[in-house]
Amino acid sequence: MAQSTKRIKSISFFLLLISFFCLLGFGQSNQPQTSSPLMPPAASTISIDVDNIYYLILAVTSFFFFLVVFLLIYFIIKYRAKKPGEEGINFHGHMGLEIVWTIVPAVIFIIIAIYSAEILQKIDNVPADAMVINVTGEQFIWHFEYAADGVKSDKIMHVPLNKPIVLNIEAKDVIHSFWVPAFRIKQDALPHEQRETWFQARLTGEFPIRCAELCGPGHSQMLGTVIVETETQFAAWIQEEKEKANAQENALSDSAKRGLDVIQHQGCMGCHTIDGSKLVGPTWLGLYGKTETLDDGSQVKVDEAYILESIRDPNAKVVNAFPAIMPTFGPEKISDDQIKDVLEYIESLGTTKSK
Amino acid sequence: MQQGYALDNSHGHHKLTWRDWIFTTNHKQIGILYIGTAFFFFLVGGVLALLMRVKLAATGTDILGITSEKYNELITLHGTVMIFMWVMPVFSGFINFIVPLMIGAKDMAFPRLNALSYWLLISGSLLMMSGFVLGGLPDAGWTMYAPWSILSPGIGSDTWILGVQVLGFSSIFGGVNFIVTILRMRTTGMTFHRMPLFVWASFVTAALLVLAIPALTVAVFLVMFDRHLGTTFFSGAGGDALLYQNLFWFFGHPEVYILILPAFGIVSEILPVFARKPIFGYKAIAYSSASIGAIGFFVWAHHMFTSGMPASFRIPFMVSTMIVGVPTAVKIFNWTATLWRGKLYFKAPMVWALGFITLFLIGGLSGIFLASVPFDIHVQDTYFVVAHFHYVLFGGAIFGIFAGLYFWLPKMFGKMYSDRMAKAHFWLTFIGFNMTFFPMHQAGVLGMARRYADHGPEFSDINLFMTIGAFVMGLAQLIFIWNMVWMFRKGPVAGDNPWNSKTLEWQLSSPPPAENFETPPVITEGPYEYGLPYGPRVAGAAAGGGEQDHDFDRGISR
Repeated sequence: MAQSTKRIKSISFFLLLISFFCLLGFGQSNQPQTSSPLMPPAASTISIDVDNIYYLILAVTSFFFFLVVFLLIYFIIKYRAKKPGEEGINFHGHMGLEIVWTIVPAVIFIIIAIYSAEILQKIDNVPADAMVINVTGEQFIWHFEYAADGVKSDKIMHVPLNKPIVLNIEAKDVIHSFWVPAFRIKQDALPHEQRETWFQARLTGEFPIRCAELCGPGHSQMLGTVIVETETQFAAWIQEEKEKANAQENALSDSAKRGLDVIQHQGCMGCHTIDGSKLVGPTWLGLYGKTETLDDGSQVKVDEAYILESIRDPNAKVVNAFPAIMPTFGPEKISDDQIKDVLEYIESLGTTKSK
Repeated sequence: MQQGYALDNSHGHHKLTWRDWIFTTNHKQIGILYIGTAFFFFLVGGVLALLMRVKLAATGTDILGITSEKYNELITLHGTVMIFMWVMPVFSGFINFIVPLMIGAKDMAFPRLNALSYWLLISGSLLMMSGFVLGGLPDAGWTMYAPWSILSPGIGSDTWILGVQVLGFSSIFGGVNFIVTILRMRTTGMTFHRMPLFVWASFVTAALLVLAIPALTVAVFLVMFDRHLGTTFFSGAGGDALLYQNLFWFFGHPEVYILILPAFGIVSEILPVFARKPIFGYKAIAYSSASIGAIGFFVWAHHMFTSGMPASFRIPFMVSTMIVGVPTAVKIFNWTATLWRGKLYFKAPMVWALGFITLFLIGGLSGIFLASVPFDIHVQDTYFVVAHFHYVLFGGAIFGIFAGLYFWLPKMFGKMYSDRMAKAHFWLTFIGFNMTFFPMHQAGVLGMARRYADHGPEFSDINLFMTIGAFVMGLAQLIFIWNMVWMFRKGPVAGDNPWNSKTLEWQLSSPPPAENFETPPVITEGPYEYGLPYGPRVAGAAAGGGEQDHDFDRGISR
């Protein structure tokens, strides 16, 4: 008897020890700049609260996991049959125990639910003075529009540190989901309907943005970056973008300007860049006049006819090293006149001379 | 393969021809057809999963020509095949074979409807697979979320929709049949509280089939209309993409319980037999199945916490999700307590059942994380969710299925497999399973999104490790196949009741005669009266504790 009491004591001690270790994480991320190996950096104010829920539930569930597994192993060793034909006891159950192990989990779950609901209130409570960024998801890129300044950016979102930011999230085509793991926020982007979420960054740095809702073949390339910077850096960036946009627009012919409008409207820059960097599709910088190698090894010169075909029937001639995932743009989406404007714009990005 | 199967014991052994199998309306043969067909699709789904893991093992390459488009087709088919063509039909097979025997019935209530259900499974599966021939596989995930499923080019979504409709009808007809059979075909004395727990679980599952699947039927028909008739239920300016999700998950969450409740039933059968002790808390387990089924209809929106549904809905659905955890916890405690002061025999079915408890426990506990809305917002659509539902559906459902197969195969075919091979199958599957799926929890928390064809270099080590685990699991299934070949060719005669079980199916010959019971048995006690001295006793001679009439053969009148 004394021995079994001792055993029970050592088991309880073991279980409490494990739970204690799990609880160590609780509140740990309150210290600025520390990052736990269990979680992405806690870069938003809300992420500390979310992590605390995680550590709390981890402690509770670890306790029950080890309790049940310990009992299983203990019973397996202790009650192993030693020879054929042995029988256990004819015992059908115990009402008191049933009540205990119905009520105890119920109470624990309700405590977790109440705690979660409190954090949820914080998440749903959007500060009134927040800066607005309109986020649009589209196969397979994120567009950002800084409402107060009229500045736009693709893939990369700049935000100031320690300032509440509300995101108005929407999709152009299918459902996407805007997720910044470091901020612990995720909000589906629905077609034709706006939804909002908010955050306040507490760490500077670059943090990945991912699309979290299957949206088509390019889903896993629908990535982006949030750059959190100080308020002065952010203001400087906004200023720079404003000037850049003005300068670019002034340099273009009227037709090329219209082409750029079409391109922005159709979201071409989700896959094509104008600065020479490679996304899903080829860059337009110096594309005009270039000779490219196709999948089957044959060569094609990028001229008016080829670009026209690549818009109307993108998979007819796919350049080697690029996936055949560009959607078709028929005349109902881009008219022939508009394509001329688009060509003008692409040509304005520089041409390559080839034989 | 199944030639030794007896059509009718009383008139000598009659070898079944292929015609007998095709035109059969006998519940036992239909059950075996279901299980065989489902197992074939388990292998198909498994190969699809291995291809996915091959793709994910390396970053930045289209290994084996698996592009991101093809990867999306793989995930869609893997989920669909495993859910609709493996776990659901294999359980239909178990219910078909076992339930009429367990309740002392001659057959199902509607034998011809039963055959129709099976052949609809075949038709639906052919439709689902037809994209391989027609050129165009579904690529919108097994959830077929609108509007991508509507806009996705090709015929992939169409084959999926038609296939799943036919499979749905197969399940609804099956469900009706199971309900009527359990309500109307029980033998004398087989009261609800004397039904084995597998019958309880089957009854709740059947009710869920009939109540939940129509929501899916409606949802995917409307997707079809949007695709081809120009309607705008879920797409276009007036369409509501969230309506699809509500309809889908109104089906989809009860569906999860359709996939796991029969496994609960199987484990509840196996534990008392191999612990030689009555199940702990029979009524608690039976009623918890029923309450899981009922509460399961009020938790669906927890799949949609990030979807942009009104914020005020989140808290009620979080609470209902927490509540559905309570009966699940009750079951785990009762199973564990069943071992207490038993005499445990570690034959293959018992080993698989214990594996089930351990892995399902992890799947259940990770569900509590997901119920908490703030944490769910972070891990929704990540590998944390993938880990969770594989612990429930593989660690739970499939470990339960193998426990059940090893338990009832001797009854189905009268032959015994190799216990050593069955245990090797267990350990290799168990190790491979945990290697594959346990790291997914952490990967998801750290930011690895679900349904990505490529995860980038930061996750490449963990992905390679998981792929190795998946191949360990794949290898383990070859042991099972070899064990089955060995059983059919050289397996020793199993005997009528190799496990010394007390439920009715074991009181018949192995395999059972075509008409099951010559005269309907009369039931005088519950199904799990273990822990009493062996051997038939004279009825009425009360044993030890003053309870009366513990006839060893459960009072089958002779």
